[in-house]
Order: sequence, then structure tokens, then C-alpha cells
Amino acid sequence: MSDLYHPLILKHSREPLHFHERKDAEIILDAYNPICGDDYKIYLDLVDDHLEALSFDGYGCAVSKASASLLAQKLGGKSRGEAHKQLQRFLEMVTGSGTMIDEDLAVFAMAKKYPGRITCVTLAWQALDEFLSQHA
Amino acid sequence: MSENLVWDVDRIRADFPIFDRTPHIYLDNAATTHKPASVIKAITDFYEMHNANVHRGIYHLGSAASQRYAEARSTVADFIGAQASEIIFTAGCTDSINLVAFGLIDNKLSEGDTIVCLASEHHANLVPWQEVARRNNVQLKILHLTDLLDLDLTQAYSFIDRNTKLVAIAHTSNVTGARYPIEEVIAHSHKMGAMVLVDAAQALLSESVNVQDLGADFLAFSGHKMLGPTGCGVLYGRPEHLEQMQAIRFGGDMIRRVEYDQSTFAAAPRRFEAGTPPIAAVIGLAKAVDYINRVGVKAIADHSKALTVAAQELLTEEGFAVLGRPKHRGPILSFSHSRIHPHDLASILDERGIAIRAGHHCAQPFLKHLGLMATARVSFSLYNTHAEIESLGEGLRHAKALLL
Repeated sequence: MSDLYHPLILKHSREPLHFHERKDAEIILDAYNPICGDDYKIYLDLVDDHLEALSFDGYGCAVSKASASLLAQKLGGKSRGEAHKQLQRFLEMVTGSGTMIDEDLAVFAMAKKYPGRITCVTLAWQALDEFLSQHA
Repeated sequence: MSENLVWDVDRIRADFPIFDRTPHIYLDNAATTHKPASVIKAITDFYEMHNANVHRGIYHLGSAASQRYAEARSTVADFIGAQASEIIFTAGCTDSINLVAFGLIDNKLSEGDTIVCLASEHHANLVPWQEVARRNNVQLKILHLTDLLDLDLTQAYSFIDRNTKLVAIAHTSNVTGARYPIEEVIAHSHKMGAMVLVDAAQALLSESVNVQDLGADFLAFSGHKMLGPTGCGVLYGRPEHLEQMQAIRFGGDMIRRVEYDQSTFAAAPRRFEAGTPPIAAVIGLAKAVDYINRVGVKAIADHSKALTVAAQELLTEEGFAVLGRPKHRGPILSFSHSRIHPHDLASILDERGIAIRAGHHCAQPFLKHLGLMATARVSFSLYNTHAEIESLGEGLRHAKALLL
């Protein structure tokens, strides 16, 4: 059985959550990886400093799609500060030595064994991180 | 080997130490090939026993290194039917193409001229021409392919006209494996007064290439895709073009007489080899050519071809779409599946020890034009086996079971 293709990742890649376009979103972010061509848009509104109506759509591999789906599920509705904190913890887990309390997100820790796929895991998260860092 | 009637792939594989040290199924030969022990040994021998710089030493080691370097040039030149003086050692195929682009074509363009590139060109044979065209304010025309992703000669004949200064074309596409009818393109281009640069990066193990027969003005290739080491490639140029071509890198070795205010430059090929060349790599490349000659290009090509045909059947059977149906194909196949992303497929195969390529294969605009973001690619060489294709089949079925 594959480490990278954890059942939860497969589930989210087959049936991603919050996977829809929203052209009238207040904020639309690009999550594009020029190396592989994975290309998503992330949609959200900032309401009372909370990330509302977080969704995404676009094209990419099972890993990047599942990770974007979980991002939308876990960070949607969170305050900007809380979302940013969780997001950075996630990026630390995948790229460094951090751990994750959230069991669902912890499945992506396996990516460390697949250096070629880390960018797939972090694609959507990095795009949101960049936005939140610029608008802290 | 070439005199043997039966292709002994086990004997071939025994020549490649990497299969002993790191067992795996290697299907990414279009990216780079593995190296036979003789090539690796030639490189270590050079450093252990013969190391010295070239074109300098009065002492024995120095003149021996210079002689080895010169012999390597002759070996590589012979391999493509050229004279040693027509072969320039470069850092690789990309470097070779840049030399022609900026050493010759950049100085030759005037208003109304055009450069023609094939739609499927590798970035290495597209981006330098874009840059040269931009600097000279001339048009870079892209010759698109047929629905089968082959080159249509009638279209090429009307496309390449008297305004065309240079045609940049791959011998074999690194994306689809299409072996283009370059002989006809060259003949027509010459009638129109255009020069042709052939990107032969994928060519030299899939057929024997002779620059005299081809009539190409320039032929560029890398050593590492033909069993040689990385870091060295080749540019062949017709002598009358090399004479006109200017150096784009200046310094030691490429000069004739240097004064504080001006210098004169050496004749080709030295004029284009400034600084200390990759001596060991060049010697390694010559050893790779010896190896290829001993096994025989035709035998290698026939074996790779048989594997390609078998793989194409397998991919189709398993529901993958093979990109293009060119009339002639080298040992390269790109393929895709509507519901399996190539990177997922490559990761799943990797877990089974199978190395394939996934991505845009350094041909972003081509894939975009075809409406694809990425494809998977397999490419074969002399050491691949039919059993490996069976393993590929199992891997594909496993990926489908996992992802669909």
C-alpha cells in the first residue's frame, strides 16, 4: 500500500470539498506550479476578519487537489490569525520538523519521504500563506 | 555484439553498474541515459592516471592529455561522419544551440528575415531563437504539426520561404518521439537559402546519423543522452559557417595573439572553446561512442524500437492515450489518462521502482497548444527489457485500481 496515497488523500482527490468556482469572491488567489502545470484558484471573502466561503477549483494531481480540499475544509470560517497559525504549522510539518495535532492534516507528513511531491502538498497552502503574510 | 544474431540484454545490462548498485526500472532515457562501466572507468582513469590541462603542458602528462582530447574529438566526429575540425565541444546541447544563435544568426539577421521553429521544439531549441528574434526585431514563425503530431511537408514547404534565415528543428521529438522528415526540410530550406540547425539530442541512439547525408548546416547534441557523462555536448557546423561564426565566450585557449588593447582569435573549433574544456567528460563521451560502435547503433535502435512498439500496445490496452501517431517514431512515448494525473502515476510507479517522466518535458507551449498541462513519458534504451514493460503494465493497473 502506498504511503503517499493515504485513503484520506484519495478520498479528497476523488471527491474534493468546496471545489467550485466563485467569480464574485472578494479575494481570488492563484496557486500555480510552473514545474508541473498544476493550476488552482482559491476563492474567499474576508468577513469580520474571518475567511468565509473558502473554495477552490482548477487542475492538478491527486495530492495537490486533496491538500487544497483539506485547506478549504479546515481553514474556512477561521479567523485570519488562527488560519495563518494553522497554515504555518502545516507548512512546518511538511517541510521541516513540526507535528500536527489535526489528524487529517497529519497524513500529509508522509510527503517528507517524497521530496519531489512536497510542492504538490504545499501548493494551495503556500498561496494562502503568501496572501495572509502580505495582509497581516 | 553487432555480429551476434540474438540480442543479449543481460550482457548489456552487466555493462551498466547502476543496475547492480541501485536496482530499478529506468524508463526515462530521453532525459539522460545510464553510463557503461567503460565510460565511468575512462573518467576515473583520467583523473587517477592522466590528469593535466590541455593545450599547455610541455611535460608528458600535459601533452598526453592534449592528445587524448584530440583523439576524442576525432572519435566523436567519425561517429557522425564529420571532420574533427567541424566539431566543437560545448557544455551540452543547449549550449551548442546558443552558440549558433548568438555567434552567427544574431549577426546575420536583417529586417524582414524570419526564423522558423517547429511547434514541438524543446525549450532549448525555442527560447534562444525567441531571444535572437526579439533582439533583432524579426519574426519567429512556429510551424505547427498535423493532427497526428507529425510534420506536414507541403505545409513546411510553403512555410519556409526566401525570408527564412534559419530553421530550427529536432531530429526526434523528446515529447512524442516523432522522427521528423528532416532530410526533406533541409533540402527545401537550402533551396530557399535558409540554414538548418538540427537538434539531435534524441537522435544518436535511435539511428546512425551522418551529417554529410543529412546535409544539415548545424547538428547539436548532448553527451549524457548517449551513454556519456553530463557536462559536455557537441556542435557540428559546416566549415564555411564555422568560419563566419563569432565566439560568444572569450578568454584563454580561444586566442591567437593577445595584446592589452586587442586580440586575435584562433580558428574553429578552438575559437569556440574558451577556457579549460571538460576534458574528462570529453574523453568519457568518446568512450561512450566506442561502446555504441561496439554494440552497433542499428542493434540498439532495433531493440529500443521493439520495446516502444510493445509499450505502445500496452498503454493503449490499459486505456491510456498515446500522444501522436507520427509516421516514424524514436523510442519515446508520451501518454495521458483523462482521470489520472501524470505526477500521481509517476509517484505510484516510483514506489514500485519504475522511473518514468511526468511533466511538460521542456515543451510548455506545445503541451498548452494541445490542451495538456502535463503528460507521462516513457523512453527506452539498449538495456531495457520486455520484462520491464510487463512490470510497467502491472504498475499501470495498480495505479488505476488506486486512483480510479
